[in-house]
Amino acid sequence: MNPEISVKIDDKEIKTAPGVNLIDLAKEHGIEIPHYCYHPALAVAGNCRICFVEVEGMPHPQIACNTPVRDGMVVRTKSELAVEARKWTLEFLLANHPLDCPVCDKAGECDLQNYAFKYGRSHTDFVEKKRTPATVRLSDKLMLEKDRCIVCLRCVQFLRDVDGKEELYVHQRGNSAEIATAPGKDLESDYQLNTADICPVGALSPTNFRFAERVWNLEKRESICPLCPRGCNTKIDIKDNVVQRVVPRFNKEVNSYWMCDEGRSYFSKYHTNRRRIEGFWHRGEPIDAASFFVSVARRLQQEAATDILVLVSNWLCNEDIQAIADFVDGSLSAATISGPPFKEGGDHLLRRWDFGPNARGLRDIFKGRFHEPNKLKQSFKLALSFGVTPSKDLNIDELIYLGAYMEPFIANTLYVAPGVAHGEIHGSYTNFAGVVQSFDTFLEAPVQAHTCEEFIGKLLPLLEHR
Amino acid sequence: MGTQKNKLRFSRKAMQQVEELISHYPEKVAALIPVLHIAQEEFDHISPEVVDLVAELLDTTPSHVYGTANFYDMFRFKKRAKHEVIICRNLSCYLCGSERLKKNLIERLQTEPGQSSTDGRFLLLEAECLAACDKAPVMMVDEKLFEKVDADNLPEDLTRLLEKS
Amino acid sequence: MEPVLSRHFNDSQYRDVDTYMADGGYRVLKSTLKQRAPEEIIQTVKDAGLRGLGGAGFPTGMKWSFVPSVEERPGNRYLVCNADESEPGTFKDRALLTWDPHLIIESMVISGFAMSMNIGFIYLRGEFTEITPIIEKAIAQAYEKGFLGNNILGSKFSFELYLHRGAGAYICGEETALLESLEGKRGYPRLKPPFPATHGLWRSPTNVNNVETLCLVPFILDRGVKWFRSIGNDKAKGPKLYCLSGRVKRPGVYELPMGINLKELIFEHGGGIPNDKALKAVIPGGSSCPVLTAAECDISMDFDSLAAAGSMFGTAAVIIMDETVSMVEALYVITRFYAHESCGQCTPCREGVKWMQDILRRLLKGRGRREDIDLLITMCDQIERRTICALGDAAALPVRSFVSKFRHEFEKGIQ
Repeated sequence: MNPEISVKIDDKEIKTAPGVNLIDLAKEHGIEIPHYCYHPALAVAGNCRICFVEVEGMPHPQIACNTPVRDGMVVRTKSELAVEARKWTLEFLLANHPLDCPVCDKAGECDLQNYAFKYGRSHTDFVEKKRTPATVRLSDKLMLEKDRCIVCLRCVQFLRDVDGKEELYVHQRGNSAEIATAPGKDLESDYQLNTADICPVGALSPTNFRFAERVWNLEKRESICPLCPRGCNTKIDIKDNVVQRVVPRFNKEVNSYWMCDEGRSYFSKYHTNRRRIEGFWHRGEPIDAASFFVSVARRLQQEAATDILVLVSNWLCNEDIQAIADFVDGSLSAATISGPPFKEGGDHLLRRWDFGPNARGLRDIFKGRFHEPNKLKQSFKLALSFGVTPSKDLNIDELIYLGAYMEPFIANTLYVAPGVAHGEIHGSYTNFAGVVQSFDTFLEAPVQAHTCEEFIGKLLPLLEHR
Repeated sequence: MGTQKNKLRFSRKAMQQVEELISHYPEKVAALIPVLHIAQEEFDHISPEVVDLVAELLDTTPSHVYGTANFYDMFRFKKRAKHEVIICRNLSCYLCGSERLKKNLIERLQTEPGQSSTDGRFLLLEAECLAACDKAPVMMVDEKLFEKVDADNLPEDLTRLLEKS
Repeated sequence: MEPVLSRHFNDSQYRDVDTYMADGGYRVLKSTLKQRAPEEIIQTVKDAGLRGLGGAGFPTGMKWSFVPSVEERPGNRYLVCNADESEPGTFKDRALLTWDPHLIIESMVISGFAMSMNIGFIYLRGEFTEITPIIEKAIAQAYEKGFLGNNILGSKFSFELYLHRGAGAYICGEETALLESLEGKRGYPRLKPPFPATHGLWRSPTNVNNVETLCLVPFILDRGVKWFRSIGNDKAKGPKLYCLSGRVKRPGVYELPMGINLKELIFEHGGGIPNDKALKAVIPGGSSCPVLTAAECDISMDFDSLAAAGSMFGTAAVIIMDETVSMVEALYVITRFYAHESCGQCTPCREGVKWMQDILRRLLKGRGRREDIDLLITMCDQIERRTICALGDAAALPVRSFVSKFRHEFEKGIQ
């Protein structure tokens, strides 16, 4: 049990354990100490020199990111010494920094801008020629504007220490130091876009957001990434009902500060430009909603439940899955329940190989009643699918499908209803480790799109109890 | 790590030296700089193939090898000229006539510091203090140190080296 | 004084172990292993008052005592000889490496024994190409004679010694940058604490010492603290290898007592300034040290006296400038050096030193602005003590001292 010590930061008396890093302690107590190179998930670098504070008894400013606190330590973050030291760090950083704010994507969320405004000088003494290294392509996903880089080394550290492969290196030394990949080699990491998140300036520029939008025009929401059962916590930036950008949100248990690159492109790849199912359909012909539910109810009652296969997607939230479970229990209790196959395993960091967020929730809610698809032998006269594209191995005569997106098989489907997509519903997913995570709506669904709960709600009254 | 496409290999003698060096350290990568010296000796300069070879031998990445090699002045990344002519440009040599020596060499070799002569035989370079300041002005040609070099009266072996064939 | 460290200089025969031994070499090692205990050796070095001669002047015995005991930290423990001599004006270690490699090896085994180290590295400057085979051969000979390896001379003390070449980076003379380089990485100085004594090579206890510092240890042990302290003046003890270069008649390495008068060193030993020129300025301890004007040269060459005068003893590399030297040009040469050698890790050094070089270039070319001179001083204020390592200070101290003491010359560069 650590003895308590007393530390004073800007006249605020704080009790803590000895050896706690000053910069962390200050943050805990709402005292801002500006910093660039320090990151709680990376080893202390101590190179940016902007987190200078005055520690009583020491004549020179100390970097807060490498100061373990001692009993009786008195720290001043706003003393003349600290303020002056910080001012000059900014002066040095801005000396060679290009005046790119008007064209830089980082504007609006840039700590160089923020701290220059808050802690910097209003003019510069630098009249020399600025360095102008070129902009380079690190990979298809990531560009590097070398003239903006402040060589804080966060990107190098992340790839080497978190991702485990040293792909970025520092080329040359001194004022000529630049970040680079090995000549002729692209950055291969599946996590490289995290470097753009942690880049304190606009040096690392993801191509998926490059020149796309000004951050102050974006609506900010929070969600959970649906790509795999990890369920990385995310921040979503939206404009005009289109997701412009996805970045990770810190969650100590699930994903720390990171997410994979693939998850960030979930919306652009699997949602934004994908054709939606609109309206209700019967064998390729449009049908009004009321007639649809009447017909579907009638068709369901024509078959014995034992001849019915209910397919439930792992893309559905727990609440929808529960609604389906209750529905099947009540109205189709002898039906077979299945869904997409589950792919085991994952990579060395975050990514799980299964496609979709809620394989665990699905199997937890149905427990032993869920049949793995590779174990299904019999053929079914009728299948009721909630978002699952039926596999070609399955023997199904006819299909009733509720789903979000147009697929080739839909043309031949008996009955098709428009479903909601991820983002258009609030609910929860259970990640692969059993962590239940809730999320809110952030996209407007098409007018007629139904959640599973709504679909069942309309169907149920039309069915006689079996 | 994928297929080893390049067929670059150290000679048996060099490989023995490399293995001996590796045995000195608890981590293979610590042998990097001494091994790069051997590689540069063997393969003329640090090329992408050399980087891949060394990275694989020392269980590290090409980026780590580049990042380390690039930090140090002695490593070459381009085909070397036949002779590297290096003059010290630091204070004591400057006080003892290095500027005049440099001008003399620029004229003799018909090139500027940092560049090769047109016939590719000489690369003229400037170095920082070579720790022989009592013998200023100092220069090195390839691995040999030349001391108290009189710009007007170059030592014979140096003159021979600098002569065009 | 009779030669101590310089006794084998300019005589290549002592590179051979048998010749070295015939002259008394490895005798101190033998007696140390037989008769002395590690703690007692450390205390002796402390009592002698030996200070680090690589530039920083830290008391050696105290540095040695920071290494935790074997009981506290078992496992590999390293002694590193910093033979990366790169401080402009310094060439004393080159002499020791060239003429007395076995003295270095003997001192390392003794020092390693004192701190219970089991592995030693000589980090040799990469540009010392002709010295490399000399050291390699000496190490091989020492192994053959049983002075290195397992159970040395039956003492149960084992010590492996390896040569490790650098590749051209001044910053690798900084001890933590040296350790990074030895580990196969860029020479980036580490944040301190922790210090190498507790977390050095591969996080193990490590001690780094300069060549000259180590070489004095066998003499201190053999001839005693009283002998060592009988040499020098009241401020500093022991013999010292001074380096004279620049505008001086007899440049070279001079072994003289610590505390010699700088004027005496230059004029009596060095022969004074060639061509009857007047002395203008002297850098007393390597280019990182604030410059002294001619009037300030009547001073004792020791750590305390020079510090009190606003300069430093450094490596005792005395660079002499006469009345014909342009201080602006000289400072430009120095600053260009630091800008080239900056590792680039931290902001004030990476940006500030290059910026100072650019300002000085403009002043040199007569395109200076009135504000530039005070700006240089302000920049020194903002670089000194703001950086991860002392290279920032090393760059700023000359700028401050040159510009303050020779301001009129710099003002001539204003447009």
